[in-house]
Amino acid sequence: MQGLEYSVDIAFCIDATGSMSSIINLVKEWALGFHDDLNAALKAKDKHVDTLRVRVIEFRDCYVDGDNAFRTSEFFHLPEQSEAFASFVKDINASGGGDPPESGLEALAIAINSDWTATGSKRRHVIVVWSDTSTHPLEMNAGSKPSNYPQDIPETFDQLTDLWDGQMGMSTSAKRLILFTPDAESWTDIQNHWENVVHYPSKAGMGLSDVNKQTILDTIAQSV
Amino acid sequence: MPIQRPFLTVDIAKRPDRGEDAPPLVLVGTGCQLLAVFDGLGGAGSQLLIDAEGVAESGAYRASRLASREVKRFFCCNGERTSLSATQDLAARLRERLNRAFDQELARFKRDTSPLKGSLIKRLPTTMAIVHLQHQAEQRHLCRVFWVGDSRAYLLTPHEGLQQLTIDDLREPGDAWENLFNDSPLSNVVSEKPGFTVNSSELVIDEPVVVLVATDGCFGYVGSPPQFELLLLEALEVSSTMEEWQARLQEGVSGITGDDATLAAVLLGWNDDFLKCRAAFRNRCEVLMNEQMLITPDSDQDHLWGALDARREWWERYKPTYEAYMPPREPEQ
Repeated sequence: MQGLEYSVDIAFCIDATGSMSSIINLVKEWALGFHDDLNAALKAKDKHVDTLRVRVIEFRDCYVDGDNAFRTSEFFHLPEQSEAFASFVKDINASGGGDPPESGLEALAIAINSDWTATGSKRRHVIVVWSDTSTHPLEMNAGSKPSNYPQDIPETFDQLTDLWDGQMGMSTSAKRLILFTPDAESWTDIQNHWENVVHYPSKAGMGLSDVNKQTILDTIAQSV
Repeated sequence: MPIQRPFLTVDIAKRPDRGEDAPPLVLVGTGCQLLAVFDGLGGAGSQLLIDAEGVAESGAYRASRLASREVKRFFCCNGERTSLSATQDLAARLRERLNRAFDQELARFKRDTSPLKGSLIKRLPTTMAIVHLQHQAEQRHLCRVFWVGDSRAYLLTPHEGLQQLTIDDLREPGDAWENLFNDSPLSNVVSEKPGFTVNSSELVIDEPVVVLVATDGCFGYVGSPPQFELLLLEALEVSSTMEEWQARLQEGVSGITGDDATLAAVLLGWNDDFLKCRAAFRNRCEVLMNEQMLITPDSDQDHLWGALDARREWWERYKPTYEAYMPPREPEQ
């Protein structure tokens, strides 16, 4: 068997606002095990993970939470930096956020702008988003963003769409976006109009059956 | 020794009886033959579809078989009409038939068995590659090719080797070498969603020739495109009958593939004498084996197919003939 060797990068965007408190531990558990699940799905197709990196973007509401609106990690190399990755995830606590919506689109933009791997003969660049609510429009408060607002965020949803379509670091072949978010503002548009998307409409993936979980992993593992 | 049946098929399922490729389709009519393969897409179509009897199968499994059934009915029902129709008209009619059939099929299943949505999710996705051969004159055939996705049709001749007749429908199109590594999503698949296209082309071919269709499980796990031809010819070289060639190919593809794999081939010419066919390809096989031996094993990666640069150089030499019959690419929109 020849097998195929993959370089896999995964960026997790985790909504850590107060409304997630009842489910945040389940999301964290899933994030910590996701790369093993994906590894197994790829292996089942004789696709072997050569290098694996994961990063985390914890987000709340940039209009409410000040400096706590975002906490981001660099990519952790797994398995070498498993402990550091686990420690970062375990430190996520659900708090703040005020009322919905939250800053999910900004978190997604940060993830898209990640320093994706360009090595390896085959690649997967995977973004996974967990949130239980809708998103602030990127157009909100145009020209007067708060001081904690992250850099290099598109000014409109169309620009974010262009970023997904054309981000130089993410090739069409490699990128996958997995949404565990409700059928709510922006997420539904992304589901309907963006390429390479799987959406499980729900509150942060709750109620996902094993069958559907396997389907999602298969869509990442397969070419199509 | 005359060949009883000048066809062979390869049918490999990674999970026995659960293969998402449909069994290869071979039809023989008066003055015509048809070969077809169908690759149900296990990623996009891995959701289970449950019918009224409670039978659950993946969308990929069902789609490949549904497409196979419809292609069989289409060409069987249109016998003489097929001969008289323009290839592009046939492609358009086939697309309409598949569209209708996939739509009707979906109604058989319980709705909303899966809540998953998005562009990567299709309920009944499959590729297909079909070759319809129509005898025209002594030792001459009209070869019509229909395809959707990345399943391929090829000619295999003693002098020109393997020649691809289809163009992979990929979002990031490349040549056969690039497509081995790019792992691009498909831009066109047969599914319940409207908007797919049945590509078509036609050419006149002269005997002797082997015509084949294959899914990516056959050609997608080699180190370079010429090594797929070598796999075909090495299996031929050590066989004494068509059945033996089929068995060797089944074994050879099983040994390298990480996917379901199907292939169908027909041998045209050589007075239906398998040993004559084998003898005709002997020189070509030796040429390829010598090329293979020239590839120094890559000590860093210990790659069984040979060093990457050497394979790429081999491909560059091989490419012009390999692509000689490929239809022109559509300009990008």
